[in-house]
Amino acid sequence: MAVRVLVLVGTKSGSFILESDAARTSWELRGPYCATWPIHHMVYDRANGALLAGGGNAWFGPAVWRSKDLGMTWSQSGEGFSYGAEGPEIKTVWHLAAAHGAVYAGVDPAGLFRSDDGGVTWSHVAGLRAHPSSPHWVPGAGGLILHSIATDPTDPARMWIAISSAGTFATTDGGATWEPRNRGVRAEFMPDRYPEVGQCVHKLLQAADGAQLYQQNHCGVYRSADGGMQWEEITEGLPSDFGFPLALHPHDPNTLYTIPLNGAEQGRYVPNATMVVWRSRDRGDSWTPLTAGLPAKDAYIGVLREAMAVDTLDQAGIYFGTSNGQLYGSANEGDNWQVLAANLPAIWSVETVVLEG
Amino acid sequence: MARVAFPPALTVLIPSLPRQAEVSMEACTLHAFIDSMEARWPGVALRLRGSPTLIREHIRIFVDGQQATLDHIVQPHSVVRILTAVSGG
Repeated sequence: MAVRVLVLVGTKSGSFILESDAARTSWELRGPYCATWPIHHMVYDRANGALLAGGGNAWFGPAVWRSKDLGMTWSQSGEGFSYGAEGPEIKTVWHLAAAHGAVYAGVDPAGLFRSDDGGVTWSHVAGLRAHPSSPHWVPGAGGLILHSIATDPTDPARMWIAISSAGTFATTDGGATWEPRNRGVRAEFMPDRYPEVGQCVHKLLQAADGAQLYQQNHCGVYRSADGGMQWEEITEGLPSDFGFPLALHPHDPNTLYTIPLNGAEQGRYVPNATMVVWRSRDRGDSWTPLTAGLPAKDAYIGVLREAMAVDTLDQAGIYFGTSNGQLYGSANEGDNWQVLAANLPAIWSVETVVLEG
Repeated sequence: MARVAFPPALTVLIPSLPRQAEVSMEACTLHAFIDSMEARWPGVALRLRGSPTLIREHIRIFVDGQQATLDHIVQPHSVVRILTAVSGG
């Protein structure tokens, strides 16, 4: 059966799609799509067979673009992205997640929206912004953004989200009520290093088995085995506690990848201008540097929070995009890397979809 | 007939939207004028108003040469120009 591997790339100026077969050695690039709008995240919604691209334009506000023919034609909508007459104007969509027949969107300023028609119309999941901590949420460098949505694989009412910089919140009732889940996570920029809320999560993900949560934070990398009730730091062995992207192996819940950067106030480049992806096979107890095929020097490269992803083939492919517009890929779980596209606009997100037949 | 001109970037976004159009109407607020355009070209109101009460931060609407807010009165023979502000691009 023929396998198509698509890498979905959101950039500062439009979205792009790279396509290959299962070998993942030769890639074809197409785009730009979405009228060259800034696209923060692009995903494939299997329930509707549609590509969804979320972003925002400074003139016209937030939009989710939809394509039912794998990118050949697109339409867009932002209907329902509003906090009402008293609320702030929504600037952009930051993150999309399709699960249990619904599509969720995280936006700036931070809030959660839900669509039950495949991303055409949206309704506010108001319980999150009703949390008593919300007046005290403060923006990070990228804005006050809801950038991570982790849905439970079996329970549609259970979900985690992360906001920079308010922290991780969880719901067990479909979004009606939320609780902070930040215990054990450092906030070095606050007078209290372990506040209940205010942590600067950079990326939150749930492992393939649904049991483990991981996060790359402004202040370290963490794991949680109890749904975020308690977090355990796993930064030791990495060259920096600062970074943005995180990716989890599609089949092995113990394997994860991160790309540390040199620090929030040091330019946000890879340390020592050497491009390294770090892999752990033991839930973060130890880390291995992956460098084959990556720039060994003079690499003043940053990788943003949404810009690393894995595919779902047996031997997983790993991909990351840089703020310089390069897309790198590995067809063997990070052991060897190649440049898949060298001259894209600044890359904000990378996702994959594997199609058979 | 009031005449209205839309910015090219908006006509890319909403394929049914022309660059210029004539609108038969009675005097009304700009808010109501946008509502009447929404009925004719669905989706346009969302792209001009960031909330029910405000024009988007980087959209400028001029009525008869004067920059307008949503309570500005549009006359039956007004010229309405909608522009994408340079601040947004």
